[in-house]
This record gives sequence, C-alpha cells and structure tokens, in this order.
Amino acid sequence: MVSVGLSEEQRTELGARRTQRLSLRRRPRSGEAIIRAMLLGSGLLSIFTTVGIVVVLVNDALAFFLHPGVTLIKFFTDTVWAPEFERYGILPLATATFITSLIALSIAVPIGLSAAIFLSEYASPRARGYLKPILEMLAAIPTVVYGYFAVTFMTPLLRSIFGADVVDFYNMASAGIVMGFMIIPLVASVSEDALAAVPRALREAALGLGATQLETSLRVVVPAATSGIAASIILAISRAFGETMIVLLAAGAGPNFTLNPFKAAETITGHIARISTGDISQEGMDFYSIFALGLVLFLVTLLLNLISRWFVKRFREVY
Amino acid sequence: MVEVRLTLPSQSPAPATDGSALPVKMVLENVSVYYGTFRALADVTMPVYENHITAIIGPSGCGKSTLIRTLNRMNDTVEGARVTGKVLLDGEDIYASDVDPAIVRRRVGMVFQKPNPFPKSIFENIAFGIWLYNKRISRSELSDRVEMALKRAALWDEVKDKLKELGTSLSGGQQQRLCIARAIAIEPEVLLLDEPASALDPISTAKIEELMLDLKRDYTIVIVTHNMQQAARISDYTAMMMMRPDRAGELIEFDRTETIFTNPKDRRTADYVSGRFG
Amino acid sequence: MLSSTKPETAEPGYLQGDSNVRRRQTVARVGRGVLFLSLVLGLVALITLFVDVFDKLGGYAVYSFRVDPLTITPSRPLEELSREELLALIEQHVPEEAKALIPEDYGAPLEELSDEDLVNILYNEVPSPETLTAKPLEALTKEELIDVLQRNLTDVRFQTLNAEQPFEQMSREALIELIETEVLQESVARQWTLFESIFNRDAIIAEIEREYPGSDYEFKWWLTWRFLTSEQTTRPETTGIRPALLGSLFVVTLSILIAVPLGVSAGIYLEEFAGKSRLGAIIQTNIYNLAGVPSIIYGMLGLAVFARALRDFTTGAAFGVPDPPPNGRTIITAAMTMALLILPLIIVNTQEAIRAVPQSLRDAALAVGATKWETVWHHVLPVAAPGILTGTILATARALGETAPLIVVGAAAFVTLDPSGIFSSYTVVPIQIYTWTALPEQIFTRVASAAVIVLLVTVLLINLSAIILRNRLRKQI
Repeated sequence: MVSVGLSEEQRTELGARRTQRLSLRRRPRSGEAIIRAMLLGSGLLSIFTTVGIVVVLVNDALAFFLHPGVTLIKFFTDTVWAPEFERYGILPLATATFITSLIALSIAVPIGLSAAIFLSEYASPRARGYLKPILEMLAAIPTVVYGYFAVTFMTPLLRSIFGADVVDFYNMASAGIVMGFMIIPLVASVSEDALAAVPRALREAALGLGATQLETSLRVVVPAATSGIAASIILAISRAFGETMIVLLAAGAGPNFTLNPFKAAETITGHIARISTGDISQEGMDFYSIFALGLVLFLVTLLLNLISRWFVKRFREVY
Repeated sequence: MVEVRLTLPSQSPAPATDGSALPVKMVLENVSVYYGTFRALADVTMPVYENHITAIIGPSGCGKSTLIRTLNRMNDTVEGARVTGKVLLDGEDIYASDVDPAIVRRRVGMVFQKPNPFPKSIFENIAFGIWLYNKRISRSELSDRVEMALKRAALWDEVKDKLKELGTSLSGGQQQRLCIARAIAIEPEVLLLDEPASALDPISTAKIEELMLDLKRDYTIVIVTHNMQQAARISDYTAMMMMRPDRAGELIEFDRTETIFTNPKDRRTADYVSGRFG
Repeated sequence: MLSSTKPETAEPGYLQGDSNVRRRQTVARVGRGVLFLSLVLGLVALITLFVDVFDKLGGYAVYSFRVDPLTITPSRPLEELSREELLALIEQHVPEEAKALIPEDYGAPLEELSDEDLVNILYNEVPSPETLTAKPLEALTKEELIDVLQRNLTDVRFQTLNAEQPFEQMSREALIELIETEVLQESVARQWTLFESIFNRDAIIAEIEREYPGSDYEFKWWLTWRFLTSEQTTRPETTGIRPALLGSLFVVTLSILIAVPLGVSAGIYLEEFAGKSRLGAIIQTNIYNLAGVPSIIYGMLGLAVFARALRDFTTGAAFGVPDPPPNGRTIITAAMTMALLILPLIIVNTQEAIRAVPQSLRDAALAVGATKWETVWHHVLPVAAPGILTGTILATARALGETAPLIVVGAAAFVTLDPSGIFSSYTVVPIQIYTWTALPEQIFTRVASAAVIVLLVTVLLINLSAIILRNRLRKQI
C-alpha cells in the first residue's frame, strides 16, 4: 500500500492554516434565518387555511342565521328548503346526502373490504402488482367523469330495469351507486394497510390450529384489524358526504324531502354547487345560505376525519 | 468501581500517567448524555492528547458511540438528546450556548461506522466540505485539495481516473477511505472514527489502520473499536467503558494502551481485554 | 398468479371421512372466490365506464339542415320566367285543391290568366316561392358557392375563414361542405351509439333510409382535431374545447407553481426543523385534517377570500387591468384555490420522500461542517427529489380533474376566448364536461364524451407516470 504522508512544505502550510483556527463562536447566518422563517411560514400557511375556512364559513353563516325568520331550530327541523318562501330547512338536503351516501357505502364497503382481504391475504406479490393499479386507476378518475357515467350509463340502466315511471331521470340511486364505485379504492387501500399491519404470527397461529385461510382471514386477521377497517369506513362516509360532482349531475337539481332512492333530490353539496354556478350575487340570502350549509358539511366531515384518525392511531398503538 | 479522576488544567501540558507532559487537545469533564429520560452516558471525565490516537473500547451497548459523538456535537441530531458537563476543545466548551455546532464539526471531523458517501461523484464527495467554508475557491485549487485529500487517504491511485463516478459505486473499503478523505479534506484538528473498520474485510482494515498511524502526525485521533487487537495495535491511549446496572455507560479506566492491555487496574478491564467477556 | 400453497390442501387420505373438514374446505374455496369476485367487480366497473364513454364517442349520425339550402342559392325572379315555365311550376307545386279553386279566385281558368296572375298564384299558393327556381348547391359553380358564403356570412367570419384557407384554392366539394356547416348549420338529427353502429349497421342504415329519406348520414366521431382546436360555440357540431384546454393548462400550471414551493417548504419544515415541537405536531394534525376537507369547501374559501375579499387583486383591477371580469372569476382565483386544495397532498408526499432519506447522509454532511439548511439543500433534497416529483405529478392529476371548487369560484361555462393571462376569465375541461352533460339536449352528452376521453387519457397517463416513477424508486431503495 502506498501511504502518502505530507511533504514538509505541505505540513507547514497545514500548520499555518491551523493556527488561524476557526472561532467556535456562532456566525451570523442571516440567509439561513430567513430560510428557516420562510419554511415555518409555509408550515403555518396550512393553519391559516384552516382558520380561513372556519372564519369564512362562520362569517357568512352568521349573516344567514341573523336574518329575521331564520332560527337554528327551524334550520335543523324544517322539511322544506325554499328560499323564495323564506324557508330554510336543511332536512331535505341532509336526507338526500344521507341516502346517496348510504347507497354508496353499501356498495363500497363490502366490495372494498373484500378486495382488501383478497389483496392482503390471498394475492401473491406479483398478483398484487397487477391488481393494485386497477384500484389506483379507479381512484384517479376525476369525479366529473363518474358523474358523466352516472347520467349516461347508470340512470338509463336503472330506468330500463325498474321502469321509467318508477325511476326519475335524476335520482339518488344512480348517483349513490356510482359514488360507491368511486369510494371502493379508498376503502380498499386503507383497509389493506390495516390488514397488512397485522403481525404474521397471528396468522401462523390460526393456520397452525388447522384453520383454513378463509377462517384465518375472517376470524383472526379482520377482527385484529377492526379499528383500521373502521377508520377506512368512516373516511368513506366523510368522502361520500363531501362528494359533489356525481350528485350534482345525477341526483337532481332541487331540494326534495323524500326517502325514495329513485326520486330526484338535491344533496347539500349539490345545492351549494348549483347555487354558486351562474351569476350569483355575492350578497343576499342565497349566497349566505350556502355558507351555512358549508359550515354544517365542514363540521361533520371534520368530526368524521378526527374519529378516523383516532381509530388509525389506536390501531398503530396496538401493533 | 474505580473513579478515573484527572484534574487537567486545560490548554497546558498535562501530566500523563507515565509522568511525561503531553499537550491536551480535548477534555471531557463530567459528561453525561441523556436521550429523553434515559441516561446513556454517566459522568465521563477523560483527556484527549494531541497528535495521539485514543481508542475507546468496551462491550457493545456501553455508550462508546454516544461518547465519541459528544466530541463533535453529532448527538445534537438525535431527537431529545441532552448533554451535561463540559467538553473542552483547546480550553473552550463546545457546548457553550454561543458556540456554532457546524464550526465544532469543522474542527472535529468524523468518520462513521458504515461508509456513507454522498450519492454524488467522488470529486464532489471531497469538494463539498472544502467549498462550504471557501465558496470562492478556484477550480484548480479545489482540484489540488481534493487530490491531496485522496492521496492522504491512500485512495488517489485507485480513483484518479474516475473522479466523476459516483462515490457509492466504490467497494466498501474504498468507500470508507473516501469518507476518511472527505473528513481530512476539511483539515480538522481532531478526527473521530466510530468503528471505521467494522464493516470491512481484513485487507481494507489493515489499510485503514496504516492510514491512521500515518495521520497521527498531523491529527489528534479518537477511535471507537470493538476489536481489542486493533486498539492494541494502533492506539496510544485507551479508554475502557462498561455498562452500569442502570444501563448507562461509564468510563471505568483510562490509561496508556500498554498499561490497559498488560497491567489494568480494574478487574473488569482485565477480563475484557483477555476476552473473558464482551 | 395467485398463491398456490393453501393450508386446506392437505393429504386427502388424512382428512377423508371428516365431512366437517370437507365442508369447511368448500366454504374456504367459495369464500376465496367471493373475495376475488370483488376485485373483478372493481375491474368491471372500470371497464364499463370506459366502454360507456367510448360508446358515446362515435356512431352513425343522420343530418338535417337548420336552414333550407334552396333559400340561399341564387335563383331567378319569378317575373323573368316565360309563360311555359310558370305553368310548369304551377302544375308541379300548386296543390290540386288549390288548382281547382283558381277559376273562382282569379275569375278565369288557368290558361287564360295573365303572366302576372300566374306569378301571383305561385306567390300565394306555394309555401316558399323564392326557392322554386333555386339551383341545388351541387349545381353551383365554384364562384357561385363563394358568393353564397359571402352573402350569408358576416364579413368578419368570411374574412376569418378565407384567411384560414383561401376559398379560391378549395375544391367545390370542400366549399359545399363549408356552406353546409357554416351557413346551413347542418346538425345531427339523430345519432346511434358506437356499438349499435358496429353490430347493427344494416338495420340502422335501413332505418335512416326509411325515416330520414334523402338525408346525409355518416359515421361520425366526436373526438376530432377540429374539436380540440376550435373555440366553443352553442352548437354541438361546431363546438370545441380549445379555450377549456388552455384554461386547464393555465390553472393547473399556475396552481402547481404556487403550491409546490409552499408545500415542499412546509414538508421540509415539518421533517427537518420542527422536530417533536408542539407547533410541529399541531401543523401536522392540521394538514391531515385539511386533506380530508371536501373539495367544495375549498371552493367556498376561494369564493369568499380570493373572488370576493381580494377581488381588486384577483381581477387585476388594482393593477390597472382594463375590463376586469365580474365577481373575481379569474384564472388566478382558480389557481390559488386549487393550490390550497393540493397543498396537503404535496406536503404529505414531500414528508414521505424526506423521511426515506437515510440519516447517515445527513450525518455525513453535518460532519463536514454543513449547517442544517446546507445539509437539507445540498444532500437531502436531491435524494428526495424523485419522491417529491411523484407527489407533484399526483397533485397535477388531481388539480386537472377537480371540478367542484371551480364551479364555486366561478369558472364560466361559456367562454369562447382563449385565456390571455392570469386575470382573464376561463373555463376548464372538467367544467365543460359538467356543462355539456347537464344540458337537456341529449346530443351534448356525445360532445361531452370526447372531452371525457381527453381528460381521462391525460389524467390516467399522468398517474401512470407517477406510479412507474414510484415503483422505480422503490426498487432503488
């Protein structure tokens, strides 16, 4: 091995450099301080966004609730939403939101969960490599395209099955079913994460006792992942409540207090979107009322998201 | 337990255990390190002599790495780490509030256990540190200093034709010498090596040991090793560490390497160096 | 492709006789099939969606004209016709019962009436007498065709078309086609779907000949180069999505330009500088919550803040831009709203990318005296860059497809002009899809299908590139 020491000349040079030792004292690094401040500012922007949302919604919702004739009780109990008659009852919009979401979940949860179980418990890594992109594709499709699909495919299909006199052209069922397709990937991916996090030892214990793969999956792995799966379902509810384009296109363009899924009825989001299309004046009760609806929507989805986070956290703590 | 008490007036030649006077480069005074509430290192006091090699030995988990990382404030990067006591570099406490940790690391360089070259070219690996504190350096001077560092680390002949290739494309032993070259390129006064040969084959290890003996003339070296033969072969002083029952690491003996290996004062040291445990 | 080692396939001999075990095995097999079926269902949904869109994309179409061609072609005034010609026209076009009443109405039999009376008969008894002598379009010369265009189009339109392709150089057939679309407003009277047209071709053509005799028909695709490059019109046959494509390009690019620096900075702050501080934890929780806020709420935020409170700035009025669009409905409003929407996505992806950078790399840079920022800038970010890029690509796809917030902040549905800058009004492709789908005329869903294909292909290609990039990254690490 060639060991290269320093020549005498280099040694003197090094010694000279060393004698001007760097002071340990902190140097003014103003550039760095500015950068740090900017990074912090970017982080704080997200806080400002949240604060902004709350302030904006509360501000205009307040203008709505302070309007003579509008009371909180009436807002939550009146079954008619008809601004022209000064009747602002959220119930027709809320039931429509609820029914479309219920239909969506009754499709997305069983299919999404089964897909998750299959992917996590049965599929080989190779198969997963082919199957997961299908779900990712479903997740990537813009919601307006799902809305188009509901109007041009699902509605005619329902009408041809159940009869055009039973099924309205705009109806909650079509919107709900297609929304269910949209939510499948969400349920599947969050549930699959939860299932995959269940320790191998648990599966091996069950298999070792002679359980079949299905018994192991359904009786051991799924129960062990309950809180993660619960998180996925709650997230799905939140997504369904907040979805706009599908219901705007397919569910109907007018508040309608009905529980019949084949009837047209406007959801909260659909109403907000419809009222804000066109040249809405940026004052007046029409304008303020959508902020009251927005506030309700925001609070409900926020609550659902917090519950979902709590479930995920609890799940992480267990494993 | 034997307390190693060294009362060392900093900045002045200290009485070494063999009686001769040696210049002290760094001093640890009652240094303890906490990770959160866990105390990883308890009350260490020891000197680091200039232009000598100090080895830190001891069984795994006894806080050797923690100790060496306090010498250039690398522990600052660990979330929740806290250091008490004093670590003096040329008499100045590097943990004083007005000290810039970046400059401490400038003067106390470090080579890590696993080779960690930047995923950049060999040239850039060395040049980055030089450029950081001399951003107006000319291209030719930069090249000269890169070449010098690589020669110093005995890597020049192997890489001189492929300076543009990725540092990560080299073999493990070469990568570690590249890391040493990177550390000495910034001309620190002290060089810390945390088990630099643990991931390497015997030939690479031999090269690195030879290199350290050569570097000793210009640098003060502190090396953590789990390999006692290595400590015996290359170091002048040895610090023996152990884990206390509360799992905090402590220094049980510090002396000339010869003494530690032939005539240790502490029974546990004797047991350890003779291979009876650890 | 599926895992082949199943615990239930044990030695058959060992398990024989135990009917319970066999039952459980059957249940296991069926269960497995059911689980697999759910994935197949997902795939079926995806395929059905594509099939549905393609089904609307083309097919046999029958045309009718909004304007009668004979009313625009040159014709001779009836007064110039000879007596024989007039009599022939009366014979041919006047209904029998009217003819029978002629002697009574005009006081003499047809043969004895003056030329003037004959002309009057034609004017009175024929619905559009001026077309009687009109030549069919096909019989016109090139010069006459150009003349037809000049007389029936506005000067501006005439000049524009002439500038695109000089009429003199066009063939007669091309001129006739131009007249059909521009002047006669040829429109689709009925269109069959793609699959009907492929599998039921003969029946359709028979039906066309029965129900729409003499009408033009052809196999019509909606997704054409003309569709991509034309501005919007009110007619499905001539409308296009160029302003929407450009609007999408403007809005998405701008929102990415705004969101990426902010999002990456926030991600760096959270991963490298915030540590376990309380503030960091609050910001982190907040970002997770923002990611779950319905997109329409962002629209309302944008409406109240960017479109209303900051209207003077978002319309450019504060900078002296003339004729600002009303209600702050400008590209910059949309881009800022969209930027806030995709910010959490970019932050979370940046954090993941930075977290994947090994600590040893940071140690290496710090150990040569780099400061925290120098370490991040020179070593952490370059390594995290591909991961951050993946997140950015996903955010781009998201921004491209989002519709609801833009409805709320006021993308205009009908915009014929290309966006000209950040203060101009705009429309985007998803808004066009929404508008066309929501229109009562069924034919517009066919137009929408073309826009859906454009959007879907773009969004899925963008996502695919992100997936490929991410998989490649995983292999590297």
